[in-house]
Amino acid sequence: MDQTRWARPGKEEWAQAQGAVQCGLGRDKAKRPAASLRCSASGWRAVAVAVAVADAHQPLPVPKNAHPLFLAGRRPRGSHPPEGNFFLPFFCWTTLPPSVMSESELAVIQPEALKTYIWLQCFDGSIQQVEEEVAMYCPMICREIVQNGTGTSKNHAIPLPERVNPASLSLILDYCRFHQVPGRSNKERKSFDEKFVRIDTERLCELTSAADSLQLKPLVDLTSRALARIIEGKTPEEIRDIFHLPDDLTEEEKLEPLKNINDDPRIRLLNRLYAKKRKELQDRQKLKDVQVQEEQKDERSLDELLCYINGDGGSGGGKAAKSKKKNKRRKDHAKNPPKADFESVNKDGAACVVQCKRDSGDISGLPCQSPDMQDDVEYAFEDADLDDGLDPAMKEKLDREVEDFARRLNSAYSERMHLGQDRRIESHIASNGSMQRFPGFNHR
Amino acid sequence: MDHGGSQKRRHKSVANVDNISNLPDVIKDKVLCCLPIKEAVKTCLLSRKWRYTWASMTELIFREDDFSLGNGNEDGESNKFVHFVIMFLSLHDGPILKFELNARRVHMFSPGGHIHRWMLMLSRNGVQEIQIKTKIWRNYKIPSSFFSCGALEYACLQGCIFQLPPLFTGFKRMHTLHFIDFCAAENNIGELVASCPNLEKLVLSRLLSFADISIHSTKLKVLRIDGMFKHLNLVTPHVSSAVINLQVNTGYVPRAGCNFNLSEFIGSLLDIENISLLGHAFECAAHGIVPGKLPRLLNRLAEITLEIDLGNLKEAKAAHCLFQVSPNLRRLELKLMCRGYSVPTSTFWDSIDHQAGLFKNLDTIVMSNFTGSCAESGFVKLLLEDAPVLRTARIEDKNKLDKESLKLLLKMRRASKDAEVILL
Repeated sequence: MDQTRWARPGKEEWAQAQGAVQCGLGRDKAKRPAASLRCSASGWRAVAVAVAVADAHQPLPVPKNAHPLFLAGRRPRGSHPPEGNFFLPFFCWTTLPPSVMSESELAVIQPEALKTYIWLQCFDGSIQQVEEEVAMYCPMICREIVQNGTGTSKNHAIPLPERVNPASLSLILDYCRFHQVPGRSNKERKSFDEKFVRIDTERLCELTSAADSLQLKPLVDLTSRALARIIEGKTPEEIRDIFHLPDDLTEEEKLEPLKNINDDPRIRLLNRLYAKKRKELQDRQKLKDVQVQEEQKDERSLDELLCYINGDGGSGGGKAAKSKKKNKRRKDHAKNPPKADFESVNKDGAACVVQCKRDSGDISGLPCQSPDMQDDVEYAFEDADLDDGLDPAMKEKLDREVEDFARRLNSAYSERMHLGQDRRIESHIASNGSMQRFPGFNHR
Repeated sequence: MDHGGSQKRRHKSVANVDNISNLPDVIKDKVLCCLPIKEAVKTCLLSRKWRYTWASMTELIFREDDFSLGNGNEDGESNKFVHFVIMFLSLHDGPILKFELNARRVHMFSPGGHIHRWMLMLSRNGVQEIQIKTKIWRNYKIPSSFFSCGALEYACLQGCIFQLPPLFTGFKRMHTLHFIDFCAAENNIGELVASCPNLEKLVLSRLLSFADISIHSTKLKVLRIDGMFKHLNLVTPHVSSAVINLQVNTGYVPRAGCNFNLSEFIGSLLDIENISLLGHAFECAAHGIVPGKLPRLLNRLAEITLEIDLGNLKEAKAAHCLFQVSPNLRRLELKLMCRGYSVPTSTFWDSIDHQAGLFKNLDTIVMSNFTGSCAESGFVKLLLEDAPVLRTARIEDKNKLDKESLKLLLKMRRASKDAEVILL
């Protein structure tokens, strides 16, 4: 076995190989006459590789000095759909002993001699030709090929699920191309995976979704883990930023989960803290409201005055409500000379309600006293013309208190109805007072 | 310019679709399961679509490490952890396939009570994997609801005791059972194994039993048992890996009553690949292994680890017997010890026929705690002369060999020219 002989296959060998191929091709021969006899023509070190397609009935004629390179399979071509789910085995050999060939030559031969392609069609209609062995790594595609026999030609491309877009398909094929090669070490695979998922989050999401629809479980696991790693240790704001999530929960809702856990004293403390925070938030909101309010002050005052006069002005309740404010009003009155102003009514009314609140909050507080009631009749009239000239900061504070009270009242009204007779009258009055006022507040 | 900028921004916001929320639920579940559970719950603050996604997670892993517990002594911290678990489970919705509770440092006031409730909840949700490790001072009784988890495939429980309910139908899909700090009454464990037809792995760590334990299984592949027993009876022919570690040195079980059917156990093995007999396994063996009694060769046996007193005739004979039936032994590890109360038989190993090919495939021998006694030297001599493909002999001596023993060791002939003796 001299070197020259190995360097270039002799005529005999070519003929032998060709013959083998031709008789092996059997019935496919007519349609696919290109005998797969290949030569990786790398100069004088040409290697003869015969590829024969075995037939079930015909044994493979192999030259005596053939060194098998590999045995592989291919689906029968030409007939569609193929008859049954069988693979025609390929047999590749060389008349060179494999030891003579360099690694790279082997590497060249293998894919070239055996590459079989299938066609995949993305949802957008684009068709891609892919090595069969790579595509077969996806269980969904494999099933299509084996069970339904699709993908053999461009016209019978395998339709891919909607979630697989061309970009993620090419990523997936990269993944398959790497992992379908047997004999890679775990370390190699791991480092490949690590690099593989270093893509921007948007593409990572698409990739995860695509891998799921192709049932490529290892890739789904890999990408889900990568997504989890992105989320881990970040604040909700950061996560929302990264994934472009809409911030569509109200502050109240965001705090809700914490409210649910309130058995532990620490958690109760925490909740109190959050309640404080929530109040601050509301206050900030109110500040904004106050600003708005100041712009429409006059109109609103008029509305409320009308409301006050028409709805409740004549009722005893209204007068009673004023009674609680008596002391304070007197003080104010003394300080500030009366001035006819709608504004003053508004402010004074607000202050009145605040006083109600204070009274009703204190259970042991004195109920309405009849002497005060008497007095009140006078003051009730005075009211309209009164200007207590509160400074803006004070007004704001009062407004805030009023609103707070309104909230408390709404939640506690029914509860108060169960209190004693005096209480009930008082709260009824108070609610009356608030009713006339709060529509105005609410539509701000 | 300003106009252009805003347009661009608008365009970008259109492109930035909320991809992750539109992923299939299965994937979202997977992502959440990869997160520490606290972070998974925190996703409820993200957006409306994520509001209750966490509540249907299928794999729940509660780790104390995720809760920054100081040293676990603070009741408040422990309470917080337990409370979290309770809250989570009460808000959970949907199947739970995996439940893992790792809370060895968490002090629970009534572990049984909590676990009872949790187990009941799990049994109603088709749980497949349960792992509960807690700090428990007294063994708790496994709630009966555990036995109604029909879909269970994997169970790992710590610090428990159980009684099989009378109408127990078995775990048809169970493949791994792991009990730690386990106290077995009667032969409940044997009955449990018998009622798991697909059990492949059984691990009993730190087992304590006063009763007879008798495990018969034809499916079991991996068997690890360590602990204290009164009677241990094993017949598991298809085990490929077995570790038996018997302890007798505490007062719980009287030494005399300790009993293990070693001979029968080894005799029943068909597919064994590696075996470890540690602690007092040899000593507890009722009759040792009677030479010639082992019915067949253990052709697959490639690794043996023994804790042995080579000077004890009973143990030496048993070990010799084991070597005789394992022709493909490649690795042998001996933890030498001196039990000290039996008659030393210094000449036993010298009397073995050196041409019998006892160690013909042995590649590695590791001996720890080597003292250089007569019996041990005799064994090493036999080994070196009789192992033609030996490559490594690691001999660890804690209390430095004296010069004489060293000389003796050096003088020994070696059948393998590649043999390397490493003295540590």
